[in-house]
Amino acid sequence: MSQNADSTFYDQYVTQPEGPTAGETFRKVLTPLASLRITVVLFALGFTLIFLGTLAQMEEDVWPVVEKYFRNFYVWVPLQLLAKFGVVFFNLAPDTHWNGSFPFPGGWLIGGAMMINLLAAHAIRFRMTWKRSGIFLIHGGVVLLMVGELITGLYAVESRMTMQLGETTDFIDVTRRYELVIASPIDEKTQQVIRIPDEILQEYRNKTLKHESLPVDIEVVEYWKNTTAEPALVKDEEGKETKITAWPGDNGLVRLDGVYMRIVPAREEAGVESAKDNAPAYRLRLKKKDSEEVVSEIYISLLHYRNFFNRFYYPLKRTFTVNDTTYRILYRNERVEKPYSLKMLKFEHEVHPGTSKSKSYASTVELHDQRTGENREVRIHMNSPLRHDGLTFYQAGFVPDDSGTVLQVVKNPAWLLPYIACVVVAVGMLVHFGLHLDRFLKRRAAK
Amino acid sequence: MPVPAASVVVRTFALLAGCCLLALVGCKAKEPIREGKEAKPEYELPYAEPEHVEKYAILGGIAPAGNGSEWWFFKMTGPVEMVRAERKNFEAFIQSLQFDPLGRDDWKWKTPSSWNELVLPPGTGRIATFHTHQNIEAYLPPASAVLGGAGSFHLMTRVEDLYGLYFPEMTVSLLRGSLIDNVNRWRTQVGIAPLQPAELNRYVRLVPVKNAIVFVVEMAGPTLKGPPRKGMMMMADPH
Repeated sequence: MSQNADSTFYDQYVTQPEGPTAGETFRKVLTPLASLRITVVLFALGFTLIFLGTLAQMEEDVWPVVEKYFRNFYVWVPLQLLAKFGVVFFNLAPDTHWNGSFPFPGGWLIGGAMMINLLAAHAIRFRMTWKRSGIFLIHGGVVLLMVGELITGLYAVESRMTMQLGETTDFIDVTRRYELVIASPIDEKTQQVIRIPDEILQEYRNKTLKHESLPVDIEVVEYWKNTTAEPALVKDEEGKETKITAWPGDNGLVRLDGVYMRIVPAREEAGVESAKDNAPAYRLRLKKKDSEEVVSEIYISLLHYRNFFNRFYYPLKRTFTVNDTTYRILYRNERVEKPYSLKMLKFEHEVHPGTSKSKSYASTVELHDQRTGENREVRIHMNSPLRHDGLTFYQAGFVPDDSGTVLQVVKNPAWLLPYIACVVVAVGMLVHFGLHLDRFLKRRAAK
Repeated sequence: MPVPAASVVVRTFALLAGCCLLALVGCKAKEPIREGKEAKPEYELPYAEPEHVEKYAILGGIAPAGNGSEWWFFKMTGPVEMVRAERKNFEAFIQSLQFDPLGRDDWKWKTPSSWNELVLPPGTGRIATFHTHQNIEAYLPPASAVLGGAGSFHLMTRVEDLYGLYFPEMTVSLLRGSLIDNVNRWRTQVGIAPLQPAELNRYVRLVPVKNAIVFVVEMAGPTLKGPPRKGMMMMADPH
């Protein structure tokens, strides 16, 4: 077919714009991202990450592993993990040691890529039809699940509240977040505090922290990821340790029954072995400001904080004096004050008959909210938590001699999302398989 | 029936929204060093004793033997003003304690110069007993001056018989039980209400000494029950 000059001009400059349209560009970008091959690779990486994260719990506590492997963009995986796996399953020598580590994509990266891959696939490949509505619902549920985990990872806070009978408490101790506190008394009930987050102390390991608000410069001399308390045994004349203990000094604690304990470095709590949290410790050299003059050298562990171990120890108050002011130094869980308080009224501890094994615990507390004037008595027990001000208070433990309670306090803005996601996925599967069944039945009826 | 497909641009916005959500991961601000006022937790507030009559007092030091069952007791009892007048000597005595965990010579201490150690007959259950030398006349009716020198246990017993008074006595003993049981035993002796476990931490003061910790307590009340008094034979320490 021949074309005249006008139509050629029209085709060239009007009906065919220069280059691809915006839609085509997006499609070009998204097409490779939507690849099913990428999906398969991401799933394989995900499975491997879960495997490595599980192996890592042979050495580390579950929460550090979650943070390091799953709530991170990448992780350096020690080869020793694989060696340990080889020892158990491939008869490698028990003392096999492989040095080094290799990088691996972390949970945020794999999850994020999966999300992009899924959304890109929907943008490119999937056509919204009633026939495919089940698939859309299933994928929507999966997206919701991933978003839920993202919000949980970023904003969920897990903490504890420890109270003894008759005690009123208006703060929570954030689990696995710590702070160094330097306090000076204002009056009997209040104190001036300088709170140094643990992240800052970590930054200053083997360095000196100077800050205008601090009364001293703090040299972070040593750090231990975990410490434990063991009886402070005495050596006899032959140098053998006896069953007798003696107060060990700075790193000492007195157990409630009067046994002297010594705080010693310990390997990290392993997720596969215990449910205990690590008790980090520091050796700090406190120096006069802008000077090398040492005011005091203090060994301080989280075990010195009474609430950390359910008030199981009597710690010694750690103090130092500068310019005639005595300051108290304390390493503790990050404290979050609340505009309401709980008063411990009653603690019930039921054991299985004929044993000392716990059957159930219950705490009766009085909730007093200053903002609303709310004042009510609540019984917190298993599967019956207290929900207040966006927090959930679960019964979690007890203070020795049943003289108090430990409540686990959880804030998770996304706590409902996994439930909703599961329902959406279930409905999606019902719709998807229901439609297939309907078509199948119709075809059979037509025959 | 096909559902109208959303444009690629709309779909891409959905994708970008997902990416933005992911970008929030890197938006968590680092906590700075913070300064401010803070209410002391209740378990660290000084213990406030309810008001009551204070006639007799106990100044006590309780030191765990460190083995989980035995506790050493350093206890001064007597009329409240006289015990309080001895507070400085008591503190000095506690600070001077040295514990030998291997038990050959359990404790060493420095006796304040104004105290007089007594030799006890066997079976009293005490490791040591001291009497303080105070100005007895200041606390007694004038007629009692004829009774003899201050610090003598015989005098003290007779003064107690006659006037319901006696002088501060410092004893050292070794007992079993828990810290709270023993603190409450003393509180019952001076006639005041026992403590709850939550109150114990606020009530005791920890004083480190050589090889041990001493939990120091102070209490006063209307009565003084328990310590062996009448009929006990004691002699002044010849050393």
